[in-house]
Amino acid sequence: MNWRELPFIRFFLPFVVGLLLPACFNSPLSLVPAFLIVLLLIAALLALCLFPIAYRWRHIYGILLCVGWLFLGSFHQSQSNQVDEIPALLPLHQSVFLQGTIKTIKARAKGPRVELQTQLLQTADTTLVVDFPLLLYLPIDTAKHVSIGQTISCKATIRPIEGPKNPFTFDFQAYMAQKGIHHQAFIQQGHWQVHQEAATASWGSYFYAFRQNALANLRRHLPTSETFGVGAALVLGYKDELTSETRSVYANTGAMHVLAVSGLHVGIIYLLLLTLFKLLPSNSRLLTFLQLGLTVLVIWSYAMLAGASPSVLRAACMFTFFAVAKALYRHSSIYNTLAVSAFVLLYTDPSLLSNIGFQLSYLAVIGIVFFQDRIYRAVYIRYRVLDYFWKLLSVGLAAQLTTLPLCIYYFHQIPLYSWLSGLIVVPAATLILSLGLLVQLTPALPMLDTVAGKILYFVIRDMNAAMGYIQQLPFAISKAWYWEVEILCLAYAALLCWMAAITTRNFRWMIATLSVGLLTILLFSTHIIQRDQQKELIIYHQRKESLFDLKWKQQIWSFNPDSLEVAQLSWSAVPYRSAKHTSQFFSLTLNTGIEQPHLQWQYPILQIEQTLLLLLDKTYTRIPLHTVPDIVLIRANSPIDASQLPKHKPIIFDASNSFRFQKRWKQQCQSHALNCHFTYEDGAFITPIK
Amino acid sequence: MKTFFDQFFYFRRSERRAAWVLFTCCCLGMGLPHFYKMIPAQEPRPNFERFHRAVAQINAQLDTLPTTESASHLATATPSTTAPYQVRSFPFDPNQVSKTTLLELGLSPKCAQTLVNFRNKGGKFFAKADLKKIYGLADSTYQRLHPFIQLPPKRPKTTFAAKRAPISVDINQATAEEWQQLRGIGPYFAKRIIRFRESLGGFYQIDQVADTYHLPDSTFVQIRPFLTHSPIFRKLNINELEKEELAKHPYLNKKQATIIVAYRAEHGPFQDLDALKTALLALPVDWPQLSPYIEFNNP
Repeated sequence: MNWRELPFIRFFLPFVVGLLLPACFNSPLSLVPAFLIVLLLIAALLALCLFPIAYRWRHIYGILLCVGWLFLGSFHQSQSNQVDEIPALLPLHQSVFLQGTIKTIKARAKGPRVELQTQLLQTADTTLVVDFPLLLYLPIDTAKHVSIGQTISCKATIRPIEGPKNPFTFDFQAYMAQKGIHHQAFIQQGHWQVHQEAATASWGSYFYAFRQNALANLRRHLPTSETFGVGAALVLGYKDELTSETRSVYANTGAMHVLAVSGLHVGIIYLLLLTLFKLLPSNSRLLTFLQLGLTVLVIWSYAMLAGASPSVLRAACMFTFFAVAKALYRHSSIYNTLAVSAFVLLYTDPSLLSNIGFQLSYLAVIGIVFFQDRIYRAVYIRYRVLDYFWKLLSVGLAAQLTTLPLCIYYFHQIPLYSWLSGLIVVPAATLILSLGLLVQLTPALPMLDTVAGKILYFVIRDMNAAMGYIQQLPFAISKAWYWEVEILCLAYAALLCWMAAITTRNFRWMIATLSVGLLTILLFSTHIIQRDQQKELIIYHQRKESLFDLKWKQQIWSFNPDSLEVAQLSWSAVPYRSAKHTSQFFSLTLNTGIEQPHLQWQYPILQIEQTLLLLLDKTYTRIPLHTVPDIVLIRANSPIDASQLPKHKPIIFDASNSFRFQKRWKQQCQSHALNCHFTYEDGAFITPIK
Repeated sequence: MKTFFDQFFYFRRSERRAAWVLFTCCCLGMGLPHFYKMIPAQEPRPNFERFHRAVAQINAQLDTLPTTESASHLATATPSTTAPYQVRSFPFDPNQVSKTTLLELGLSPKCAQTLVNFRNKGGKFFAKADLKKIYGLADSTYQRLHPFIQLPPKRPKTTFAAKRAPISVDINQATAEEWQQLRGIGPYFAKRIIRFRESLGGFYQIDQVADTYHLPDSTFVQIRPFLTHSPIFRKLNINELEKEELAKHPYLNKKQATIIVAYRAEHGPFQDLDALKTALLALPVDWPQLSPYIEFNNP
């Protein structure tokens, strides 16, 4: 690989490192001194441009430029972070009046959830002009219909979005923070009002209507909810109608990416256009540019149709650069084009760098560009149909090679048949996408419309059935992979070394690959061994219930009320249990005692080796004589006296206590200097067993 | 490594110029918006009117909803910066006027809410001066609004049966018919009071009538002046009566009766109240209530 052919990568790499730096050191740059340094750098670089440099110092310009990009990246990141911190003086936890415009709408069973860009805020004393995004949960109100671009007023209590209470559960706070939203409000029935004036005809509202129309077109042809859910997600990126079963089937077979409109879809459209253009003569320069214009137009109108979500815009941007590069007919490296598009995207929004979709799509493209051809050429197949499938398979394998570590890191599971599902899904997606778009155009031609609709329906139905079948194959999915960041980094280091070894054909890189890979495996296995030897007590935050688990090596002993359903547990205990990947599961009940060498349980006392856990509730309201508990769990509004409780020992209040009870205890804890832990606020309580 | 260093950091002269232009453009593109934001903008004051109208509408909606304890406190929120209503005076009926109209009349939102709450609780305005009862209504506002208050014409005062000639009822001798002459006592309560009296053996004081099951306190207070007292007509002979007969008395229960009989059998008849108190030492007894009924006739 010759770096001199890749100027944008040379700018892009230090820029990305710069973007990462403020997050790593947690110290944003201040504006004015940073700008002075930038001015200095510009001047220095200009001087180096204008005057010849001695051969010895030929690298000085490159190094300075590198520093410049690095600096610019961190400057950009810290400035865009500061924008997010505007609502610091927000009146929280009190009832206020708000006015704002709707940016996005997500339909939910309990009522729509909208993103509101606030404009005015009225507290008890003043009216403020504000401008921050807010997540608003509206009640179901059939009389009021909300659409994007409308202005609504409401009475709301603004609260910060809360983080997860239990370990390994989905972090909604971080997810929304990435979108720049830090606050939410729940609106009660009758506490809100849509402004009577017509919604300001913004682009957003126009595309929203456009998309609703397209959805209606699809709905005509796809009668069942499964087919419509998949069709709407695949063609229009509308995921609200996907059932959770369909989601899990597609996730377990590793085909989820077809349901999220992204690079794959825009890529399919781009390839469709390319094959169409191949039929036309393309010898003149003018025709080439006409084709380019048409391609860009089609790609961007599709992006708008698909809801203009960040992932689609990203893909559209990437393919626009591809198309431009192709039309210019420069023999530039594809990595350069990739770097330009990534640079433009990160320039517009630096927070994209931490976006899973952004990371996955770029890694997949890099994988395809780098590995696909090499894999494909490794085996020669004479038969044309088989060769087509082999080509498809090689694309899937190449994309997976680079995205797998990240997928493990984020989703903790490996779908083992993703190569197989890819073989089915990608041709099916091509068909569905082209038919789905055709259906949008054909309402005028009833004959064609019916035929296309019927085929669309059958393809989607059969694709769903095939995914369901693959999911039922033995060893379809390998679960409970939990990687730390360092393992992830090591895995990518090994991958990079391998790529270097392939390009340079230098054996030393191969040795590096092997040693880094070995290190990764070693680190991972030590983590697994540590995990299996771990002894931990965890008291979950489970609404209105008491729930705790004792992880003792490979066993889990659980105090798990029968009234709890699996759906409720999936937000508290299930993620922890699957992360710990234990083989044996036992339950502790109120009535039965347990005698084991390492564990004794007789309600209300649980002794694990030397650690003593005492449960206090309505039945047991005081600490038994001659026992010194190490941990006290107060549940179900136990009427215990604060002076009885041991100091310096953790005292846990779980969610089976009423809110008022906990509020009262919060003061008592302070006055008695107790070491209290409220799962309501502090989340689940985890402590190692000595 | 050397070639990498050479390739990565070396730029030819033409490349250097291009890179400089790109870098400078990016610097300006990133820096200028931030500097622009630092300049205090002379933005036109946004139009609050529509917002305040919506707020008033939401408040009006909330008035029609069943009021929760917190629903109203926000209604107090007035923007100090702008007054949302043009204050006017016009004729109005305080029994029907809506909250928004009250605001237009110049009442503060809090005061208007107080009036609405007063009405929701069943309050009515009969005279103009009744409006003064509204907490927080300034006297000046009342004076301004006084000519505009519209009230329905006064009804002639109705005469009540209570204005009958005073009667007196002997609590221990009155029959059911006599009881029913009292206002608030019908056949039901008359029967109840008499049944209670019979089981007691007569009321030893007037206030005991109030203990009648279900008799409302208000009724008792109403009839209290018409009641007269005569002595108890039947006492409990503690040394003679059997267990069941004792237990029938409202102030004794089965357990106490059993103990009394057992004590009597063991220690002989009771001589005085102290002996009885010793016997019932372990049980809660309302002695002041019970003692007027006790009699120690030895057999």
